[in-house]
Amino acid sequence: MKLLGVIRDYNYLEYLDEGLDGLILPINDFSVDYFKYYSISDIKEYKKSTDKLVFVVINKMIFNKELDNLLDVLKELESINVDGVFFYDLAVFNLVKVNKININLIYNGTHMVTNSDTINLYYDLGVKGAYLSNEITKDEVLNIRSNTKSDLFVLLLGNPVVAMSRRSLLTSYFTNKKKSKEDLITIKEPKSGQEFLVKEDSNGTTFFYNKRLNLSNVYKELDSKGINYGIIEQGNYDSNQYKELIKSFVHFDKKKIDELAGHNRGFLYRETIYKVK
Amino acid sequence: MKKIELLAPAGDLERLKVVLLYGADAVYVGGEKLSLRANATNFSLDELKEGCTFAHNLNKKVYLTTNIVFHDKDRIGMEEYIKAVIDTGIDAFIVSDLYLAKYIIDNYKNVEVHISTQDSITNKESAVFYRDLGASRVVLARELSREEIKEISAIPNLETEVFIHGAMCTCFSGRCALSNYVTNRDANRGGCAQVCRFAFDYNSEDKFTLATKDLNMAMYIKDLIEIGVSSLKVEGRMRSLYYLATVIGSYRFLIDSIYDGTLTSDKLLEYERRLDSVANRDTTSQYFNHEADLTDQYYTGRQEVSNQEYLGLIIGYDENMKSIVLKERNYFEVGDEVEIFTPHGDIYPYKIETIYNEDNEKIEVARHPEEILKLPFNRRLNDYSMIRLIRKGKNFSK
Repeated sequence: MKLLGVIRDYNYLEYLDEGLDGLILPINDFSVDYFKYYSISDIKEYKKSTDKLVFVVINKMIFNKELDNLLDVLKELESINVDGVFFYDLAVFNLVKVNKININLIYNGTHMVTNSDTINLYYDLGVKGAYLSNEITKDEVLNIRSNTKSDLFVLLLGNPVVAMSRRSLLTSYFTNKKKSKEDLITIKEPKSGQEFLVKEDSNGTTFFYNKRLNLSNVYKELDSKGINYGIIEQGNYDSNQYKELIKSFVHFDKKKIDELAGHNRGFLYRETIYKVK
Repeated sequence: MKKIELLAPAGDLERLKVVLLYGADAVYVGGEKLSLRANATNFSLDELKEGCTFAHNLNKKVYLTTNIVFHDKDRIGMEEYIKAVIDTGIDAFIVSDLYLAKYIIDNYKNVEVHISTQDSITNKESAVFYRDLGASRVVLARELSREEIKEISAIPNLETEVFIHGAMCTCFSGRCALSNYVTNRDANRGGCAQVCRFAFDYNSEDKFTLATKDLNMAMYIKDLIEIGVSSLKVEGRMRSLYYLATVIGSYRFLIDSIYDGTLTSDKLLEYERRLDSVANRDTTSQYFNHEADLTDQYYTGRQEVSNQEYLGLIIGYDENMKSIVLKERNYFEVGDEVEIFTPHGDIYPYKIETIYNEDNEKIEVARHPEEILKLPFNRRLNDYSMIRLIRKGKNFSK
């Protein structure tokens, strides 16, 4: 399994040296659900400074007025020769197809990448990778692996994205309260005790689960079964902690990873229900 | 130009009949599999068949929602189910999953595929993608402005459907798993627990809420017709008969009056008020005129109020007593001023002077929901006519 990092600071070369196989770079204006975004020139610089993998994220809902600019960005990314583009909105797929842009696409439907058939259909349409939803079980992940040719990406470690709204929910909330606005807050659902980070930017508001997902306990199994890419997010780790984490995955040390990241295994063994009796 | 479609929700066969009788051109329902309202009373194959026959006899249509984001195990029996529901006579599927959409398009030419709002279509390119795949219609994301709806509606050979009334999601449809994380109920497989309506703790002494007001587009129906939308959709498969009858009847009146040029501003206001009267939350036009802001959100404690103006459903006529027979829904009494309204849009102002119980005994007060009662009236009315309260009588303080 190749390890990809999502970082929040500028020490990317050090992280790559620790053993990351590449980076995922959310692009300015067209990405949501991240804490740090990159310009085209940043991406060019990254690409120039390393031979390792560089994937770009374009995962926001696209609106008509953004389509021209999106096409320009896709052409730029083609010229930079990035290793792949994670997309949510089918506008990205259609623009790439219609304009014959030579880019590898990875389907990044957040909560919607949950079954083999749909991933296979995307594969047949030319989308060679899929970033699996965090809300499926380990058995489902493995079943998808055994049923598809697509490259599969999983979040190994990080705060899962839970929801995304076009609304400026923090602006509205603090305006209503007549308090000065914060761009990142923590909220707690009192009955379940679940906590969420709520972050607002110009594209809307994202909810992140406030417990880090840590798949260290299945990392080796996912690797041996052929999951192609594992993603390790820096989150709020400082540089040294993040390097320690990367090292612990590279020279696999489950105990160390769990010490740093806790034991939240997400939905690996917990199937969601949808019919309530 | 084809007249715009009024598309209504129906959680069961009775609701299907009511919304079609009250003026919907088409109805969307959930089946026993693949529907995003897993906990609604969904339609069996026999009920679907009966519903389709009922609708087609009125020259109307039935659309089946099969819009879950399925997991591998939900796939079992999918092909057989699709075939079986097509055999019931449905006119279209509402689908979100790309595989399922393509499967139906490739295998069944006599049924339409509409792409669900679950896919949050917000731009022309993604709409064109679905058109080229073979979908005949896209249900647009609820986050779009007038101009954005207009631009997508201008795409040739593709119908657009927009929500005009009912509850709103706080987040983009399909991009919310709050329910999964808080209740373990899968939002994208029909188990949404509406966590966005919960109050969250914030900073130990405060509550953070993110709930939205409902949508009411009564004032903008003319605009939606002019910008080329094909279908106007009302949310609420689990709503009451009275709510559905009032909402669908009101939009039927507005659409017809716009087309025949008789809609006055007074009537528009009257119907907007009528729609508000059955809502249990405040309403706004959300994103249509501006990006949604704090005026479209709830920041006060209770968001929902119960509505007690629905007094009864008319279920027959007693020729001997010259009385309509009704099943009581809410308390009323002698002296109350009410309206009796029918699926054809007729409205009869009525003052309650006499109430008979099922044994033809006079009573002063109707206080038992589901009780069969009679009110003197000089003629039989259509099935599913209803009675609503306009003003309490002088005994209100009792």
